[in-house]
Amino acid sequence: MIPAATRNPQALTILPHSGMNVREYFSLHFQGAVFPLTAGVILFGWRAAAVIVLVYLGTFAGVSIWRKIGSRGAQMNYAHALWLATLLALMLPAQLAANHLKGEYGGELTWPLPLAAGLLLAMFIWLLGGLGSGRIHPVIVTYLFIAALFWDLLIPHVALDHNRLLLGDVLNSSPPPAQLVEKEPWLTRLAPPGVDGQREQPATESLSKYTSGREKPARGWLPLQGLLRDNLPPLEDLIIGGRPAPIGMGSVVAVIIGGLFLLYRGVIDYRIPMIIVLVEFAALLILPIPSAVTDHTQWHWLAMRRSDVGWAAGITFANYEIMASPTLFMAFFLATAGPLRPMARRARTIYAILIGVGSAALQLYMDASVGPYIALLGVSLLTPMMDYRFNPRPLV
Amino acid sequence: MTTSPSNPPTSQDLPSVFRRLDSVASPNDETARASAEADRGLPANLPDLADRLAALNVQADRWASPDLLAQLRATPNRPIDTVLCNILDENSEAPLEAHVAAEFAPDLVGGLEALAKVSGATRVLAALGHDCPPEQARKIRDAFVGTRIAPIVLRSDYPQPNPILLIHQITRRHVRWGQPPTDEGIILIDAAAAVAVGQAVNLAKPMTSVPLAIHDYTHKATHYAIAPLGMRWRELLDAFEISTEVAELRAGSPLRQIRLGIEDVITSGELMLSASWPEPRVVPDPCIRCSWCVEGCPVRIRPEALLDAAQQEDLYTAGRLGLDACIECGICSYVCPSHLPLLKGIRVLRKSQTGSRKR
Repeated sequence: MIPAATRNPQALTILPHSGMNVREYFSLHFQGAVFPLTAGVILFGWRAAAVIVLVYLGTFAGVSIWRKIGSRGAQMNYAHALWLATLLALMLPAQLAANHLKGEYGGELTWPLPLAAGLLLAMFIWLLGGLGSGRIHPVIVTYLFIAALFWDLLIPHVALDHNRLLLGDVLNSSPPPAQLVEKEPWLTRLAPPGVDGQREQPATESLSKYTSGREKPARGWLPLQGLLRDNLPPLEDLIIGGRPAPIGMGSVVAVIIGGLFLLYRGVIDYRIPMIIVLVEFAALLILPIPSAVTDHTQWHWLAMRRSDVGWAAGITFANYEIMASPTLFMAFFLATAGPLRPMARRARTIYAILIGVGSAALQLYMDASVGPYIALLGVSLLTPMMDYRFNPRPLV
Repeated sequence: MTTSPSNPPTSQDLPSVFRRLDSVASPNDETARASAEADRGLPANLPDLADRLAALNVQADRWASPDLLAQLRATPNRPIDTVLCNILDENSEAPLEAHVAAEFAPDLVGGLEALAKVSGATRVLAALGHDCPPEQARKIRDAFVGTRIAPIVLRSDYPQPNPILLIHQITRRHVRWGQPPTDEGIILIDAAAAVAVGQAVNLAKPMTSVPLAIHDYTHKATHYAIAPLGMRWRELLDAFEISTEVAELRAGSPLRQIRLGIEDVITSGELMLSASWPEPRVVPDPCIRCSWCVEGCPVRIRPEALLDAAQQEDLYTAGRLGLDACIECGICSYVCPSHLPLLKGIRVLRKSQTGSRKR
């Protein structure tokens, strides 16, 4: 009955409290985030580490300022702010730590962006209620704010070659391949000499363009099976790592291990990520998607039942949507945040179902890279109502 | 006598773990004994039994054993069908109930049989903890052989010894805080109370002393004593050389946060005590909605929302959130990383609820 993260009541000498405090509570969360954080630094190199440091510096500076403003500021907690800074850093791409981004970015100076994001995060923590009170996740608001202004800069394009992990530079990359993505698995592929990685289109871009009807196929016709075969990387690359993604989402395995660690320590409720993923998977199979993109694209409910799609392609498509998008990261690390999720179990189930459905719909018809965040933001606004409506049923 | 909880006595004939402290004879003891002697034989009904026990000063009113005399005098909603003896211990470091039941097994059996006979109960159950020391468990089981008392072994993790949880676990009946178990057809007493009843009914022995256990967290030792009613806690601490300068005394499980004044006297209330270092003063942080209080709550209420209701003095919302179901186990306060006074908030609400009902 007693959460696993607290200590055994019988083993204590300082009574009657477990000794757990807010700082330790957030440090437990941080321990869970260490897995995707480490994977991100390994997969995206020193620039990923620099982005993380810049976000921390910005947040720390911001909190130092905002702590002095009003009684709400006095309640701001460094451990809480640094945990949120970790989440924000995991959502950003490694290429932001650059003095001068080349190519299509037009030579922009981007390293101040993570720093500014940290400062902005501190401001949103204050504005949205401080420690514990806010029902809107400051990290999501900060990310969407930056995304609205600097959308192109937030699209990741490179992952390091497996021979140049950790020390490689994501900006030292070769031009994209002719077929948008490299189909050879990352573990067996070798980057051309003199570069640390290969530039390619992230899977979320290909998926979003296809499902939202924005895709302009070269031959005037692109079936779903063609998308899966030609425009997306091998699924194993998304699971293990080695494809362009934000720092924390480079490896699905690392995200899942981090989430399982949080479950093991009893700091998150298993129902929320489990239901979100299952419901989203089901919704991705049910909601209308194009069986083929043409001049007159038609969307079909339960598309996998059509003969030109089939169950295998339908399920593979849903897998790609979940592995390529930030769904798992959102489900384990954001949707489980205390201020956002309701207290009662029944309410949590409804909350997770709504997020799962919303996330699937927004991924399909808006954008796979931000859909889950917007779904969470929308559903979390209903939490106060759900908290009022649903109360736990007392035992007696 | 001092024992280490990890090394219970292992001899076949258990030496008494209880140190008998000087008895303070009550001036009414002899009168009470004489009155009981004249009244040998079991009373015909529970109120009469209550009167006889009251005459012999037999009382018990504590967290793990609701008010004995009130149970016997209550007009039950349904016939009594069960007598339940609570031999679970709140703190496994100080298994007082197990030691009392083992050492005074004949009196325990006598007390339970008497209650069953007078109430007409068809079953007599004794709840034993899974972590009851083996020698004590064996002795208790041996005493039940040939009687109609059925032992039930339960996981005794705190707060399972609470009567509300215990009754729910064994019978699936729902008793609310402050409601006598007799309303649900059950008489519930702990081992110490059953022994006192047995001694009063069968030996006409008045209750002049009570068994006690003190777990000294400062020295990691447990002491057991038979101490006279009316003795000051300070004298008891002195007897076991527990410094009153460094130790804070709490009744029952420390999680329940019931502090005792060392100048207070021993009564028939809480029998298990803990002496620990004073709690460090902490400034609570705001609630971070971690929900550990909700997940840890054994009766599934929302302590964090109740604290909010307490601050706003909102009894309506408190009722909706399950105030009546709270058993005041203190797990919510124990796990709260923000160090919020959740149990205190619930007690404040209960107090204002009682006040508003009186008005």
